[in-house]
Amino acid sequence: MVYMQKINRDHKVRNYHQAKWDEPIIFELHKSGERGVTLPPVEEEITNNVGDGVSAIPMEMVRKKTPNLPEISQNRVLRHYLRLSQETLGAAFNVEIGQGTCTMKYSPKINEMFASSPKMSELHPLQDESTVQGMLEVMYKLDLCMREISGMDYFTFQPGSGTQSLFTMASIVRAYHEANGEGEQRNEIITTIFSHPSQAATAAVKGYKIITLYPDQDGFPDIEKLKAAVSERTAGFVVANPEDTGIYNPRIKEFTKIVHDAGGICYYDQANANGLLGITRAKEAGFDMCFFNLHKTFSTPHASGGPATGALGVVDKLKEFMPGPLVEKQGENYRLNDNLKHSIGKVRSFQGVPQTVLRAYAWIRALGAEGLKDVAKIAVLNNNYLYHKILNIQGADAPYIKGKRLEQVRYSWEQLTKDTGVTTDDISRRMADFAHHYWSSHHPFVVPEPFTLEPTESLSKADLDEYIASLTHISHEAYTNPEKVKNAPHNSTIHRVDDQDYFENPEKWCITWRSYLKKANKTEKINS
Amino acid sequence: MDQVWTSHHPYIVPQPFTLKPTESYSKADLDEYIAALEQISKEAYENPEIVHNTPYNSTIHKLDKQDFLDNPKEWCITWRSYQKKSMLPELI
Repeated sequence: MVYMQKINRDHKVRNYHQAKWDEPIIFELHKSGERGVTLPPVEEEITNNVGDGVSAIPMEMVRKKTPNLPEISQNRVLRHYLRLSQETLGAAFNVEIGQGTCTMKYSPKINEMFASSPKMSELHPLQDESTVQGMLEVMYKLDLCMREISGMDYFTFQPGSGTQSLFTMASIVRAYHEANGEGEQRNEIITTIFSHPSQAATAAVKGYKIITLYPDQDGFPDIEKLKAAVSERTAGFVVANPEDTGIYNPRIKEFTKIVHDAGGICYYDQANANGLLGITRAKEAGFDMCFFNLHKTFSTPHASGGPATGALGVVDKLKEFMPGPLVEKQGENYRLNDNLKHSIGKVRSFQGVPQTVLRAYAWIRALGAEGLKDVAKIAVLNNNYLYHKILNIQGADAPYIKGKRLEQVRYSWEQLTKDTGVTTDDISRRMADFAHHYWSSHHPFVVPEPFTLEPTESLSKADLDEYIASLTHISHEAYTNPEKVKNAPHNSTIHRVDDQDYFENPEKWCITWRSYLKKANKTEKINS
Repeated sequence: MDQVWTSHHPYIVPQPFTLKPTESYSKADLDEYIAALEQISKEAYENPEIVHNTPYNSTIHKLDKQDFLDNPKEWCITWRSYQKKSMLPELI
């Protein structure tokens, strides 16, 4: 008797292999005369009425040469990009918790439908206010939501990223002190080492001297060091809370009071507020400004480096310094107010990225106030489950206080590296063999052999268990067969690149087709 | 076009295959297909075992049992049928 064979997929460590297509660069697919769409010639009647379509354009704006684009059939272009997509480990393919601090939560696809609807995508920022009342209403109402969530008084959605928000806030700090005649005297901004590196970077761009506070032995920013740092030179204090360690500073209100007493402005990096929604607010913690990255906490796509939105809120006394225009309601109508006395000027064209604003608004309205609070609760629960499990993996640890963490944790493989020689970079490559994205964390490089996980509210226990099982498996490999981990990846489109300084030397890489041809020719000449 | 299909009835032509490029494919596409067939023909003459034991680069490898699809007891097309048939060996 023969029976059907049962499929066994019980194992949590996935038996995965990435596709490999050996696909040429799209420019190499160029074939003169090939077309994606062949258009019929323009009918005479149309030409008679509107001309040839080109002569209406001012001569100085007409290209002298056609753009150097590859000529390829529609069929082949489609095949090209489908193939390349199989060679990626995109956010929708994997349990995307390995890029902690970035809050890679799931973006509901229905919000993409709203954003790509012609009602949204065909709007133009130069349209008259009366013709874009719907979009202005969405911006105004998202402003109201953000006020409720943060306690701030006014919001702008103009900044295109978190870093641009931080730059905007540093600009507002400078404009505020200049308006008060203290612009030259107040030339220092205080931050902490585990806040995002953009905080110090953007303040430095605005000409500020940066004072960086290091944590105490438990991982909290040191309040005594803050007391010693403030003076009549203090322009502002910028901090994330929780910081990248996932540790929440419960004395934050004392920090902001110390800075206020010295005459400084306190601004809050809430790019990632995933553990805080509905639990605590910037205003009650004593801040004068804050921003949220809509592409983190509010579920809009990260879009490979943008365009995105930093929703930036300020208290009433800083309103006049904001980048304009602001959306205001007048009777039943919405209008743009660009009449801000001390405005720092625009930080991005028009009103930022309205599609992102629409997605975030839809997300907030779908969840409601209680839903937002649930997001924070589940994100923190998921994170602490993960935290507990990771601490049980041989060779893994999390520096600083062992109490609860908020929405993410910066971990360390220091012990594993000491015991086996396997580093966090090796583990990053080996995780790709099990279809997981894993990232070895950004600056500051204070925690040895770091990794930062952030499960968000999007993932199930089964998802987290799979990720944990893969890390546990790799730890075991490191202790029993370290070469296997060091030589990973084995199942990816490309294997380990021998030349490890590839990315450090610009002579070895290129980001455009033109630069590729130039560098490839140079190599050929040298070789011949 | 990425797969060779061994053709349907009538089975008069021995070891058949039927190709049909339509108007959709470029010469480069056809040349790629032809090159792959030539490579396999060459392998068949030089080292037929390589071809016998394919596929090597697919999601699943060659199944040991070749009559899998001929016996309805060994496969199922619904979840309900899958559950039923996968319980059979346990019941017996």
